[in-house]
Amino acid sequence: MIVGERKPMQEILDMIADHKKIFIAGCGTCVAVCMAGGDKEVSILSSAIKMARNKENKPIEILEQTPLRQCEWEFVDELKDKIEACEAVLSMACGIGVQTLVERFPKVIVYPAVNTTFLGLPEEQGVWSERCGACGNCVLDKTGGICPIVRCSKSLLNGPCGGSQDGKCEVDPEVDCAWQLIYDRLKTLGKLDDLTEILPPKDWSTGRDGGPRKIVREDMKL
Amino acid sequence: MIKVPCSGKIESIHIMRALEEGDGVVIYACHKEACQFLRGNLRAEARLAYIKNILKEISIEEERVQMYYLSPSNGVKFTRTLSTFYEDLKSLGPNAGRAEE
Repeated sequence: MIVGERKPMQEILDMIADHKKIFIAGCGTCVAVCMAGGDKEVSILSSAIKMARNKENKPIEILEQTPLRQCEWEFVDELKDKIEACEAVLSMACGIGVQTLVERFPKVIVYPAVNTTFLGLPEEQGVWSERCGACGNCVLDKTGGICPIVRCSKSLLNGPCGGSQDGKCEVDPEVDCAWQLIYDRLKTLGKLDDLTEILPPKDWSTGRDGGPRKIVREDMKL
Repeated sequence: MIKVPCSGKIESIHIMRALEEGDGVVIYACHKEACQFLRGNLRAEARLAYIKNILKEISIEEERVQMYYLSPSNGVKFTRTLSTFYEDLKSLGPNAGRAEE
């Protein structure tokens, strides 16, 4: 899922400083699961903004709603009335949600209240970590299901660097060395020989190096 | 005073909404080792820390929210801590973030 975290309050307050009535739009999918922009976080942010503005003697009116997803037209269409009733929208979705609102409601100012951080999983309640770099050319079949692109601090594709110590990364000793994890896993699977395979350089044109990406499925079009 | 089955039932938004309309919030929880739901009071403590951080970010005195641990039968400590909290709030003055009536 997409993982994010709320921006610092001061940054949010600065964005909406000139507005007297705003709409806070949450998202009930990824950012709700990572507790950054779901229903509860919308309410808490709304409350904090109201208090901050009361303190400055500049009270603000805030409408709130959290659609199931902020990244699909049919769900953001539900927000139309509230969006049109306000001067600006503060989106607590990921960057995709923000841009969905911008594209659907071109005349409306939309501010991001969340920093979209990475694609990852909840390791445990309250702890999220990165697992996928969305490179568009998955290598997990070669690396025992462990992504060296995001789990190796240097995104190395040909084994550990010289800084790997006792299975930990030299960049952050709290982080496991991805290549140690890959080696251990392939060893457990009895597939260490896979590491001797000579692979061509990775094609990064499917990643960010190839510009904005798009998938078109003619068979799925209406 | 709002009774809840366990301090762990108190959500962050409950504290924020109360602060929007009041000068302070005090939470009474069971002693840390004595939660019959095991971690309820620890959850409340973590949520309180989260709220205090938000208050700090918006420059509202974080002392406006407090938490005390006491056993259900300790009326003396309840009265004493509530009086202390009340006096502390009086010295802080009205909550500037409170909505005007």
